[in-house]
Amino acid sequence: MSRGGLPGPGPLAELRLRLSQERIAAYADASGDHNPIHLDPEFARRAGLPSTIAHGLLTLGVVCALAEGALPDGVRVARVACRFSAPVASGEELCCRAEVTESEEELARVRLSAATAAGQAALSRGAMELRPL
Amino acid sequence: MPFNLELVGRRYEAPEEVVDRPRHQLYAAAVGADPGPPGTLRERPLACFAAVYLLRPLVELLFGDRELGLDLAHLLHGEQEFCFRRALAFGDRLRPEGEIAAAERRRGLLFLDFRCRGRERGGEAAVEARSLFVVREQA
Repeated sequence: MSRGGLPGPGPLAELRLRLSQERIAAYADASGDHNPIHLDPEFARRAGLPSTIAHGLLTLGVVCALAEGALPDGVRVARVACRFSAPVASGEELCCRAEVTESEEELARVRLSAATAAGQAALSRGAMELRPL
Repeated sequence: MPFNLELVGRRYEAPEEVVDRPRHQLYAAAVGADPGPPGTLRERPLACFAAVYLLRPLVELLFGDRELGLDLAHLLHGEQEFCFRRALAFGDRLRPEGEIAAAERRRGLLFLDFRCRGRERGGEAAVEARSLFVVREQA
């Protein structure tokens, strides 16, 4: 732990989670994003995809929630950013990781990553910045 | 209808949004957030819940703008960033505002840089967002 109460460098959290079609549908309902590319297999095939794909913001939301669940009290998220580097097909398992890479009194940086079981990165440049509350 | 690049700079305002617990509960379950001990309530909203109270209403306005001719079904989400100027709390009220900050056409794809902010009643932005949308345009 750093002097400001921010977590020190090192692994923060890790999780394997399957992005099932049920979870994708739940995210569509929760977020209001009912783009058929996420929900309609026939539409997805016509769009050139083998199946429906997860919302990018679902993947980011899973990784961020994982990291936030591991934060100590008195810390707030100041920034989250990522590039969606590859689509995640419905039913794929994601390996999500959050690791604190730098920690000072007023700012800690967390690297966020999510990859499929085959090792394909779903997120790149995943970053979270933390500050004392 | 291809996107008219002269529409860069167009702004959107959505009705005031509340950072509310009921929608957050659905969101948190969907992203697999740890619900915490039984009977307890999460103290603060998850950061990426901003996708719901800030980004969603503005994206609906953006893709509902017939003059732009964008098709949500051909959208690929390229990048996303959220910046929080303070810790948000349940019950906070924010007015979402968005702007097409830049647009570029490359290899049959339209790259839209969309900037959003959630303003408090005093006018200060409590949260800001930047989205890069990649849209496959119809021929």
